[in-house]
Amino acid sequence: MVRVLDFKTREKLVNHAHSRYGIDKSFFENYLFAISGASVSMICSDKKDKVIQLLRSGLVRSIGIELFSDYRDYTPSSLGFGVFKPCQIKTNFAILDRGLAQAYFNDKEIQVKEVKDKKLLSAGYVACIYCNYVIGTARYDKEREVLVPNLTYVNKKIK
Amino acid sequence: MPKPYLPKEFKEKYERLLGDESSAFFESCMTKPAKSLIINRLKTDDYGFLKELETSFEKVRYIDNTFFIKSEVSGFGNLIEQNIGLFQMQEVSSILPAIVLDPKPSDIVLDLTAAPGNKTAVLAQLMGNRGLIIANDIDKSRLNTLIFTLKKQGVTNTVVTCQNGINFNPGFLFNRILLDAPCSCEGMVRKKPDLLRDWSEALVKSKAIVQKRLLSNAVSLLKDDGVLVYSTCTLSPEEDEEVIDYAVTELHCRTEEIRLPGVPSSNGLLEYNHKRYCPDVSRAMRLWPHKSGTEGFFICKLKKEA
Repeated sequence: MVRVLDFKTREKLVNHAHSRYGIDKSFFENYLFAISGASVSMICSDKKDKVIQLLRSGLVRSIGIELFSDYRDYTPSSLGFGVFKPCQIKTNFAILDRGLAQAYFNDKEIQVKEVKDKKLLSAGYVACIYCNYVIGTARYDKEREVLVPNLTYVNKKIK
Repeated sequence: MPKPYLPKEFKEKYERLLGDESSAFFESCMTKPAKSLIINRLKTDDYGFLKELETSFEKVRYIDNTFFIKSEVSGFGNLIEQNIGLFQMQEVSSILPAIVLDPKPSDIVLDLTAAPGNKTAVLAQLMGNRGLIIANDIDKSRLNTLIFTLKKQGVTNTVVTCQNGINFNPGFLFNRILLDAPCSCEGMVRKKPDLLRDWSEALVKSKAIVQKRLLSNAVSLLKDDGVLVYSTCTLSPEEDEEVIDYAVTELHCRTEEIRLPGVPSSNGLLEYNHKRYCPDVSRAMRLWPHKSGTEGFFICKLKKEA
């Protein structure tokens, strides 16, 4: 069941997006957040009253775009991060060239030393950028100095 | 790819319907349709990446941001640009219903039978990710594809529901509704050669019954003066003109002219199998594969009378 996300959790997630990725909090002002299990999605609509009406009706299967596939440990949704522009991501990102971007979509680990342009502050999830697009997220394993693509559902389950 | 299978009964039907043109129609059924893609304007306005794909493209002159892929390609769907949703492979005829609906950023739009979601994504593009789209489908498994398509394309203004379109009722009315109705899929035979193995007149009739019920509910969810686009990927008049005739005579709708210059289409039929349809039906748009080069398609724009 999908329902409106409580204010406290929303603030926590917005703060996380800001502190980890440097995304300006104002970006989220126009979005309504909803939760289904551990998955948190957001919808950009000036018809929020209708969205809330639908959510209350129990008919809704999903809304807008998934931002966190598991909000409890802040696991981001790779597809969802595509709504951000690269300039909105200020920290914890890696800019991939075409070869590395292809490796990313082939679910191959990427050696951090091969990424020329990056700002990786700490272990955990980071945004992956190619050209002018955020193409998804990866887990930065600081000990092994690799990026592990976060593509569980993108390539394996649905396609 | 094996040649498409056309049942005897199917051929007889279209010989009666098309007369001398039928051989051109059957011949076109045997050829592959041109592949095409639409640029996702939610993500980019820049077509520059097409030049780097080592494939030749030809702009579709009657749809913005859409290109025919001229050369034989493989693995096109696995390109980075496809993975990040910069474009969507989509047959041109199936892009048209969303364009005909012409949703505005302030609209509340219902896509009643939305899976697999390509048309919903085009609606979101036309609305600039504003307003609100309800994308509904009865089929849970196909909804997963729909949700994936919308996520990949960066669609953020859509609520997805899983209800039977025949009695779906969210409790409010819509400015615009797209009903791309489930059908006998005759128009897709060029892409799926075995599609017509189970075809029969009984199938066509059973689909028509469901289509009328879906349309009846869709009209009940439409605001007065609201716009509804009915489309199918089939060419049987029972599933097309006859359903529109029903909407005009029973559901207080009127048809609207479709203004899409350059689309190689024909008008809706006014007569079939000794049945005469109301003159309004001629405003519908038929895409015959032998004339348009696309898959077979039917589109009609309806307005609910106040």
